[in-house]
Amino acid sequence: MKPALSQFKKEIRHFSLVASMNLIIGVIAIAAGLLYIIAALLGLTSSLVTPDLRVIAGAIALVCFGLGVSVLHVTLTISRGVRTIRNKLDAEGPAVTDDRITCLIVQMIAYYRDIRQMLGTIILIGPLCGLCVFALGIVTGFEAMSLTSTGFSLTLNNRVTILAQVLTLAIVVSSLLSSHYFTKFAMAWNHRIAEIEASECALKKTLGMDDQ
Amino acid sequence: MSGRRTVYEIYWEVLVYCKTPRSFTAIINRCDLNSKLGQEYLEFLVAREYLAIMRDKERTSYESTPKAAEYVALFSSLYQNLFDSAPGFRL
Repeated sequence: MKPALSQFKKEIRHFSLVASMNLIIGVIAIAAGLLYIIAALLGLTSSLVTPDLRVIAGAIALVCFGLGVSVLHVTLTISRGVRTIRNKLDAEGPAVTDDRITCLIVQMIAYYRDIRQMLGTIILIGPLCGLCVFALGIVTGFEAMSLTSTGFSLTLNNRVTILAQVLTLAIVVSSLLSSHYFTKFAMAWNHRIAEIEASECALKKTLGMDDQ
Repeated sequence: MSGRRTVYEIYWEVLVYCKTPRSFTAIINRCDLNSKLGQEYLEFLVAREYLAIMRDKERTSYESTPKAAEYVALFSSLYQNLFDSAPGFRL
């Protein structure tokens, strides 16, 4: 397989994987936010020690839900085009022509120009979404909270809650990792677009457009 | 092919598609162009002798000339070279 094709396939595959991870984070954030809101409406959140904490948890749940919807929507929009290109790549046999490889690269570059801003959005809101899930997990897990003149102490209610905190921590780490990968991906593609712009002179010369 | 393309990408696409004779309608449909823009691009490529007009009775079609091969090859090598090296990160 040609090195360009192999590299291109690898990047598209990795991008799809990270997009899938982001979709899962979005769904978990929506579910966590929604579950807390429903529980609050049913009056099941009275175990929280102070009303203030309930208000804070409610606010975080709303933000969590909103960010989850945004992450899901933006990631779905971004991954739709990449999935189309990936399907085309997978459908190609081993004897893929030079023109076909270039065609798919051009499609991806054109698509990247379209999603560049959305990618910037997901890089920002992805980790925020993960942090909100984590914060919601922490706040809902408090059994006792005391604030004295000498200090501030919190007690988590049981082992199950601690396990849940570990899971929310995993979500934060995943969201940070996906954001990191998206940043790297954006940097690589921005670099490629800059290279294309730099090489346009050669194309212009070949086309005889210098005199225009 | 849709998305934001540069004029050079559109020229390349038209030239590759016209390796076999194609009608104007087929070209603008395939390359996702409106008829006004399509006409401009084709006129440019014909003027530079990258495309030849073939008239068969009432049917007009366009075909890439041997001169177009130089542009197509340069374009392909430039775009494929972008992926010759890894971007410097691993998943």
